[in-house]
Amino acid sequence: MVQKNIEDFINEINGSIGKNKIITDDLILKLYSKEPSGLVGKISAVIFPENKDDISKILSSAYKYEVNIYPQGSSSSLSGNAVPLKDGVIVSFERMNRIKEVNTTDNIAIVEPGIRIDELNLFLEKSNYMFPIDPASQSVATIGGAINNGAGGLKGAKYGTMKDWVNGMEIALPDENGTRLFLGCMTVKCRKGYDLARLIIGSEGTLALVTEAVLRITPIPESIVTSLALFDNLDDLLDSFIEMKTSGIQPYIAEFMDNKTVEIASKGIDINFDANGNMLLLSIDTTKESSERMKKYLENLFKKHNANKIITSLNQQEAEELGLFKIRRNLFAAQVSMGYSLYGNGKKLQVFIEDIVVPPSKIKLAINKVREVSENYGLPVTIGGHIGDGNIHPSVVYDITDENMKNKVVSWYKDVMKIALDLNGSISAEHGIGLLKKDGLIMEMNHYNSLKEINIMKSIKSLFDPKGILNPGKVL
Amino acid sequence: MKVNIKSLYDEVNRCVYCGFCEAVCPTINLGPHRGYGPRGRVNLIKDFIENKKITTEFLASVFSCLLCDACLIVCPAKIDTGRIVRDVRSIIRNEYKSSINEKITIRER
Amino acid sequence: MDVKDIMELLGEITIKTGLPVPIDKSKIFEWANNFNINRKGEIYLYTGALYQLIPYINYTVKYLDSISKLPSGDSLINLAKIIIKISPYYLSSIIKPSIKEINENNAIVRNIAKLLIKIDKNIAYLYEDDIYSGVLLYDMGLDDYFSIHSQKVFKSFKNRNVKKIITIDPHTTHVMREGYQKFVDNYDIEVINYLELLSNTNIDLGKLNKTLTIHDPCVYSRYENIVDQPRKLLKSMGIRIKEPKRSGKNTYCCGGPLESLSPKFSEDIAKSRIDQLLSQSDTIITMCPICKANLSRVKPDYAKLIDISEILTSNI
Ligand SMILES: Cc1cc2nc3c(=O)[nH]c(=O)nc-3n(C[C@H](O)[C@H](O)[C@H](O)COP(=O)(O)OP(=O)(O)OC[C@H]3O[C@@H](n4cnc5c(N)ncnc54)[C@H](O)[C@@H]3O)c2cc1C
Ligand code: SF4
Ligand code: SF4
Repeated sequence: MVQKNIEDFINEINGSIGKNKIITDDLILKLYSKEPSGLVGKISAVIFPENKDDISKILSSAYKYEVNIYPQGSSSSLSGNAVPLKDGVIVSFERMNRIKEVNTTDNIAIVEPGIRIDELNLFLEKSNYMFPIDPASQSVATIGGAINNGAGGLKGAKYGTMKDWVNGMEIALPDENGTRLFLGCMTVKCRKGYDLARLIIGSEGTLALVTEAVLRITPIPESIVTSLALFDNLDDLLDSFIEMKTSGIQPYIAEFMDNKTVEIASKGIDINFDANGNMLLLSIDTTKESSERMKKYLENLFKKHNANKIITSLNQQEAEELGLFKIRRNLFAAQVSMGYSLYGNGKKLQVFIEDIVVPPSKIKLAINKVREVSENYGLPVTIGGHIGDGNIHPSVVYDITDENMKNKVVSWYKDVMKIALDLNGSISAEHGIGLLKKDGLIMEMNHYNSLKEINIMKSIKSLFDPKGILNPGKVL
Repeated sequence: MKVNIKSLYDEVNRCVYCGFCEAVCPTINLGPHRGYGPRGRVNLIKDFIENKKITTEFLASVFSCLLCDACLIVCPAKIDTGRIVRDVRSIIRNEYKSSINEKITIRER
Repeated sequence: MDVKDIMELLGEITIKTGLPVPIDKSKIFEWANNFNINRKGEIYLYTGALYQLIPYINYTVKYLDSISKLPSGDSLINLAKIIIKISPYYLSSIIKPSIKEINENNAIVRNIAKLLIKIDKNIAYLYEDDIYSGVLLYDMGLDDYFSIHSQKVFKSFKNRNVKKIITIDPHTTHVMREGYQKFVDNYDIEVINYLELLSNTNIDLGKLNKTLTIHDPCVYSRYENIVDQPRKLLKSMGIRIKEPKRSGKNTYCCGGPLESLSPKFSEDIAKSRIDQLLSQSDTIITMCPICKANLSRVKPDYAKLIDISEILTSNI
């Protein structure tokens, strides 16, 4: 049964934005109420705005009828960020996926929120530019979703996260008129009072709807040297990484996978080398002239730290030909297939991906600790991550019908977060709080003696969203 | 030959809802919703097998697929949406023909 | 138009006439008029009629789509359904695709036959038993119709003692392998695709100084693993092959499979694909009659679409 207020709301926007932008087909509603986290919700309609005015109209009616709004890009979130909790409607940005302007002199791209990161990069590539935030889910992740999750990616060590690559944005507020504001600036430098644009980044759709974004873009490096090194001993791998960081080299990409993960991920892909041990995948941006020197440096470094295999390419094309990225790209597939080899086909499995971050100097401690804890639980845990910025993703696959295992996983999850906090880290680097990490957030605030932060955040939330209708129940 | 619903179900049940497949699907951006892409097709089919219910949009989803299998290549769970959709068309015809009263129409955005 | 209606018409016509459109059967093997190919042999060329039929199918689809849009569309379609049940051939007089298209497609089949004869002059042709495979029924999940039709085809093979066939397009190749295996009891026909066959020989095709963009059909690349074979043949002629961003296993559909169910989708997809292909070169190689027909509807005048067989026979 659809609640009366939602029914009235749908009738009103039917008139104001047009009925071909609203879907109420039962099965489609269920389809949109999911997320890779495995969480499932329930809603009364999915609405597809096609322009900013549509968004303002939707928000204004939602405010009037007090209808919950769940914004969605591609719903590829992993912490329950995009799942509808209580009854309400999903606002999906998939039809707002235009690139409005690209300006290589100003280094900006102005885009609608529904564009996928990969699509944007395909377009920018023509001018030899890129948008450097590349979550492993970049083929699906939308700009609106990445902004609201504060996403990061493989190039995090060099380029940071979304918060570093959005100059400004237009938002629409859940008020009488669906008021639109332009936060931040068109330029990188910007001192417009409090930095509200940064406040929206990572707010997981709980403060406002992003209707347009002014993104920073950057030229694709002239040359990129990539080295894949495999180490029998994890400590050797981590030592080589720390030595490189200490010597002042900032990697373009620094990805890591532990031996068990490498073993699974290298199965079923066509690479013409044996991959045994823990893998470090390092890319460094250089000039054509210096790439040979960098190649030698990396090879020597890894040799010194007892790598059992080192394969290096001088440019991207060679890296592709050698298949250096193949194992990394197969990580998620490996995590999924590991589950089926462990529990057998026909089971309903869940891949649970942790997202802790520690200062890079502590990464060795963190990984060893996580390994220890996981072994104690007897859980099949793979560890990989964006080692360059200290962000690791221990992940576990489990059978969701097995209660005993589920309890273990929940407990493991907490322990892993605790490891991060004990090492001056944080419980979430890029996936966000959503539903699954709300406890973790409190844990972190407590740990840093900073509980009042939660109250401040709650006050901010009510300023933006007085009726509490935007993605209710998330983050706080 | 009768389609083996059990193995069909096991296959769609492997979906982790990551959406990687949507990036390569030619039909997703043409239709009005996610049901016009592989993640939608797979999850709608899963729901259909579980609850034995069909809707207009479900039918549009199943009949707007090209069976081109671009999605299979990028799917981490190796789900063969093209072959699955073909089989589901057959199930619909065999078992639900009489319950389809409306036209099946593939809608543009 | 209602997808159900299209399926019903397709199924009925195929069962009644053996072909998915009500036309005279001799149209299928008219390409072999004045062409010297044996009637009997160990290995048979089986075209499955797809190349020959595409002009007729596309014309029919357009025709039905246009009448369904008339104010009295629904009742006209119902009338068509009734007529087909009584005498499908009654409709054959209204199906008049362009002669040029028919000739072009017949020429492709003839070129392929030339290549086959060149490697083995004993390869034979089925003539009136070169019947339609029923692949459209299979793809649409019209398994009741497909089951009847495929068994008919298999029986006609058996009557002629056919053990091994050579197929010439992706869809027929796939259905003869996978579809028939599933639906026909004791199915034991060996199916080999002509590109697979040719690439396993040392056939000398001469040289051709050209740069061409290749469009992999989805069914070849992803269902039948035919990716390297055409490239090997083209390279043996010294042709420079341009690969679009999406090629090989990652190829992008031409949109053809939706031609009858949603002409608009089909056209939009074809437009995306032709742009991807033309970013490489002006001349595009196709390997499937459906790809060629669908891409040619949206191609700009300067662009050229050539079936691979025309290239391979350019020196023969
Ligand atoms: C296999 C896999 C790998 C991943 N790897 C990474 C990774 O390397 N790095 C990383 O950071 N993340 C990763 N993720 C998580 C996720 O894909 C990203 O955070 C991504 O940016 C989310 O984008 P989306 O379009 O799917 O957003 P959604 O999931 O749809 O939404 C994300 C949040 O933003 C809100 N939202 C969406 N659009 C708007 C808008 N226009 N206005 C207001 N709120 C909005 C939603 O309500 C939700 O809270 C991964 C996920 C998967 C499945
Ligand atoms: S097979 Fe269907 S779902 Fe998969 S990519 Fe092709 S059209 Fe999309
Ligand atoms: S890529 Fe595979 S697992 Fe991911 S959503 Fe698509 S079908 Fe599901």
